[in-house]
This record gives sequence, structure tokens and C-alpha cells, in this order.
Amino acid sequence: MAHSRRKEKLLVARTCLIASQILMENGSEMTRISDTVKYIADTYKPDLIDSYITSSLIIISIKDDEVAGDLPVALIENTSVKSINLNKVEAVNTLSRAYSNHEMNIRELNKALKRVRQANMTSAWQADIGGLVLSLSLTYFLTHDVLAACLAGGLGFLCMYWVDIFHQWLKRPFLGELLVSALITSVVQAIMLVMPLPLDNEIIIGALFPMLPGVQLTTALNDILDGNLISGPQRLLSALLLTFTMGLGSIMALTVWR
Amino acid sequence: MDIVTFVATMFLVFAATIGFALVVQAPRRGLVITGIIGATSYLPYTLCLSTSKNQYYGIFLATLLVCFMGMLFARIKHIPANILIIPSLVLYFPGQQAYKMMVNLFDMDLHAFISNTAAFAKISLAIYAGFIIVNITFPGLWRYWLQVKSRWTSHQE
Repeated sequence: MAHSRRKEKLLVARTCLIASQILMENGSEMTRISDTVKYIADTYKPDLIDSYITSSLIIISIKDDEVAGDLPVALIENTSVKSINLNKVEAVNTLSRAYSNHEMNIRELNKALKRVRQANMTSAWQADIGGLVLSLSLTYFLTHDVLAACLAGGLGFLCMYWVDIFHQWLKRPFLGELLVSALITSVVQAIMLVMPLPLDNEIIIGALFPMLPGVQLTTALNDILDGNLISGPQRLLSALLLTFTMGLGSIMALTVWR
Repeated sequence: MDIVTFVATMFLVFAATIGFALVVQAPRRGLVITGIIGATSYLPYTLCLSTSKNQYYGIFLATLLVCFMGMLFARIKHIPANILIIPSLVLYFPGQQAYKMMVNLFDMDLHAFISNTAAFAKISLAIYAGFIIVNITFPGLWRYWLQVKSRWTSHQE
């Protein structure tokens, strides 16, 4: 009996770890991750679990003598933000809410979270269409020029398509964005050989808008506001580095063309 | 600005918000709400631009409205608030200024670099201020609303 209770408490800790990993890897803010761990743990037993989460490390420890005995028990995992996927964030939110409302037990929650982690809940075509709509509407909003908006929309679609391919091929952060911004700038310069584009800068910015790190900036502000002075500045630096890389890619392409 | 142009512009903002929500893989059940919040936020932004000619006050008020509506609908619809808030702020993100900052730096155009850096900092501060105010006030307002609602319900019974 004591052994099965210990196993169940370890399962709770592992479930909290999986939930926090999914949220971290998909760009959630720190408060949501800590709150989700707390909801899951407190639903099973209040004050069972302690957590320490940063953007590269998750530590879940069990504060229970029955499990720990004379030794503390802690689960530690390396992690990082792999992509922004709010679908997975919402899936974890829905599952943890269902568990808190006693609509599922801890084993079912653990299995469901593992499925969410392994599932590819990314729709590439959705992101491509989103890039087209975003670039087209924002560029028209800023320039009131139909040609510039249409070009930016088409290039925004290509931007999302290429960045996905480069991420799968290179598997390195920032490099995909560097290459895509260079390619987009080159395409605009090539079009200018055929016809004049007075709004070429606005077209490039509009096309690159889907890649700009708005989510990372907002999440960084949220984290700093909540007092997470490790994760917040880390995400802010990552967002600024991403923007720097995109600027570098454009400048490299412009330098070659000039 | 006439009413047709204003409505067309709001529709553009609605489309841009939904576009960004699609880019960040937001769940489909929140797409329309996100678009509505984004389009509604354009109202205080335009009002501020036309009255005070200061876009930073407009961004601050728009962020206040986006965060407030995002948190409200998050509680009503049981969706994480950031799923509604982040795409709705797409018009106000200082990403464009940050990009121009970097390009000006590489071009060694220091005047433009300083100007864009100042704009980036001011926009970030305006968004940050909006976030802080709503994060501090909304939980209290929500608790007050729940108290009023429960008193009203028990009075009805």
C-alpha cells in the first residue's frame, strides 16, 4: 500500500514535469508553468510538490517523507523554447483543468500529456496562410499601396514556408531567420531590376513581420513583470538577438546587391 | 477619416490579428475573439492619435484595452489569456522599430539608429505600463464582480 502511494506520488511529479516541459518548449510564460504545476500537484495533495523553473532547467521536488524518506527526491530536466505553439499551451491548460475538476485521474493525465508532447500540433499551411494575411494587411495598413501589400503578402507566405524548411534542415536557432531575411531582401532587389518599387523597405519589413519576435517580447515582459529575472531577460535577449539576426541577413543581401 | 475608411481599417487590423494568431498556432476557437479584441483596440489608438497626436499614449490605452478584454474573455471562455492578448497586440509590437534599429546600426546611420532605439524603448514602456496596470487591477475587479454577482443571485433567490 505504502509502495503504491509512493509510486503514485512519483507519477504526480513526473506528470508535473511533462506538463511544464510542454509549456516551456512551446513559449508559455513562467507564471502559467508554475501555476499549472501547482494546480496539478495541489489537486492530488496540497504542498506535495515544489518547483523551480527557468527557461533552460526545470526542477520538480517532492516534499513528502513517505517518498523521500531521509533523501530528497527531485526530477531535473534540461529544456528550451523550441517553437511558439499556443495550441499545445491550450491543450495542457484544458487537460490540467479537467484533472483539477476530477474529470480524469493522474494516470490518464500523464498519458494524455505524453500524447500532446509527441503530437505534431503544428499546421505548416496554417502558419503560411497566417504569414500571408498578416503581411498583406499590415503592409496595406502602413502604406495604403495595393502593389506593396500584395508583394509583402506573397513574400510573407514564402517567409513562413522557407523558415520552416530551414529549421527542419539546419536544426539551429537564428540561422534559418538569417537566411530567410537574406532571401526575402534578395527577391525584392531582383524584382526592382524589372520594375521600380519606391516602397521596397516597407515591403521587406512587411514580409518579415511574421518572423519578428513579438511573442517572445511579450512573454519576456510578462516574466519580468512577475519577478522572473532569469527567464525574462533571457527571453528578451533571445528576442533582440533574433531581430539582430534578421537585420544582419537583410544587410548582407543588400551589400551583395549593391 | 470617414466612416467607411475607418471600418475598412478596423477590418485590416482584424485580419492582421487573425493572421498573427495563425502564425503562432493559436487554437481556432479563440481566433474570432482575438480578432475582435485586436480590432476594438484600434479605437482608443486612433482617438489618441487624432486628439493628442501622440502614438505612445494610443499604444498604452490600446494595450490596456487588449489586456483587459483578453483577461475577461479568458475567464469566460476558459482559454489562456496570452492566446487572446499576444495576437491582439500585433499592431503595437515594436518589432518594426527593432528591425530598423539593427539595419540603421549596420548602415552606420547613427541619427536614425538613435531615433528608432528611442521609439523602440518608448513603445516597449507603453506596452509594459499597460500590462502592469491591468495585471494589478484586474484580479481585484474580477473578485469584486464575482461578489456583486453572488449577492445579486442570492438576492434573487
